Amino acid sequence: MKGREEERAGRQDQVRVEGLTYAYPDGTPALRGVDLTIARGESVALIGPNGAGKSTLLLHLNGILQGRGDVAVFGVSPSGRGMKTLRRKVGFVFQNPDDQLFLLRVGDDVAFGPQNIGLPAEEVAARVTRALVAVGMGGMAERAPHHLSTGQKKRVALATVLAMDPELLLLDEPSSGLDPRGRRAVIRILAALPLTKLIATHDLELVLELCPRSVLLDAGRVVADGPSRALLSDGALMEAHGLEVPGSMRG
Amino acid sequence: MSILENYQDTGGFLHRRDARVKLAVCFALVVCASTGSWYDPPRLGACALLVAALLALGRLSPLVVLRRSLVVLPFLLVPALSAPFLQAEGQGSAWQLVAAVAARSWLAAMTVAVLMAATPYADLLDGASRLGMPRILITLASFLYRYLFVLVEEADRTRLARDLRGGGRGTLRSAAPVAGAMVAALFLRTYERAERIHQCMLARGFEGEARRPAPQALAPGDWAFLAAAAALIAAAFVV
Repeated sequence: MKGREEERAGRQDQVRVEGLTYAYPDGTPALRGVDLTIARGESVALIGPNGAGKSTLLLHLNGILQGRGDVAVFGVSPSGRGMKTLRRKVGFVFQNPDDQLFLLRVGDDVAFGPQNIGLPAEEVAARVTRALVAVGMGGMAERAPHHLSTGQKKRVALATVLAMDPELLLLDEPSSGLDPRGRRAVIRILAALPLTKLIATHDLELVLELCPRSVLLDAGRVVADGPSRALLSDGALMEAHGLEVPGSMRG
Repeated sequence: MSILENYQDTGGFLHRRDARVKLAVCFALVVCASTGSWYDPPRLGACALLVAALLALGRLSPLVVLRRSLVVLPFLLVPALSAPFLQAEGQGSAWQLVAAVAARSWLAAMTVAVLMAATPYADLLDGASRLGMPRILITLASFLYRYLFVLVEEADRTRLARDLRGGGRGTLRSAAPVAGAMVAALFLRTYERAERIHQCMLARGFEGEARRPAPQALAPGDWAFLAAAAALIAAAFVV
């Protein structure tokens, strides 16, 4: 029975959002009827000007925010009872790693998620090592987060999520605040992950490298959704929404 | 920020001991140094020797630990100022009483400074939690320590931003509203950060209580250290 359900979910879209609206507690509308579907294995960029609603949309996909409209992730609504299983499958990497890393040792922080889902100690330890090695931070488990550089913190933040073995990765500005080397490291790590990815970012060159498809969000609405190369090379579209054609496409 | 960074990684014998054992030994030593009849030079001498022994076991720099222990100085101001009005009972003068209070406080502070120099903060909290300290206090102490660094950096940046635009000068009358606004901004930012941290925790399956691995058994070295320290502190109680 369970197997069949999972099989059905596998064929479905992993993310399906229909008519999602959300207003901040002060009444400012943030999302005004967003429709979005993402299939298994896709790598999708979420682009748009500041305040377009990118982060807000991401926060709806693991139930941290709940607006009106239909949201289904792996066929489950991210509210109520389905949420617990959902949060194991959906990894969320926040923009500021100082928010994500709240414990006193890197290793403890990476272990936090696996411990919360009740894994045995040996499995937790194995996952911590594996996740830290995957982001090039092996051997750093005993370090204190406040002794790390921003680039290292970003990578550890990614490891805290990878240790959960997610199937869908939500990333909020994974390259912001990084030097070119740190940014390159993050791109390389993300490119190597065979997961479904939704990446909210202003880094359009990163989009060209990682995401075949882009969704352009402005003022809480999806303005365009299509192949990244077509979207990002459309000068008029980009300019109308506070973006610009990436340097590498301007010839 | 260096005042918060007490750990000195010398890899000494004391550093390798289990945090629970170190906490228990240091607690006993503090109790020993701060109880008994008020004028008791032999006992205080014995405690001082034990603190010196801990310093040696940790291969710690006495000067650095000494500097840390001086945080008790301001607290000694009150007994020192009230000395002229004190009437010491039994043997000794009021000034001897103040000296005894100072010596006891300082020995306690030295013990804590040695403990913190030989144990990473995270291990200390782990140990305290395993010894039965309430979980909520551990969590508070852990978050406080982690985010003090972030908060201080944020405050530094805010102050720098003000000073670069010439806002640091002027009279108290003109500077006070600016300082007030800065504090308010810091508070709001901290509040928002707390919300974001909570979201991050929820996203990783947090359900109200952090789970943690089972405690490790004490090593033979821990037992030996515990037994020796217990015997010596008991002896100090008796002298």
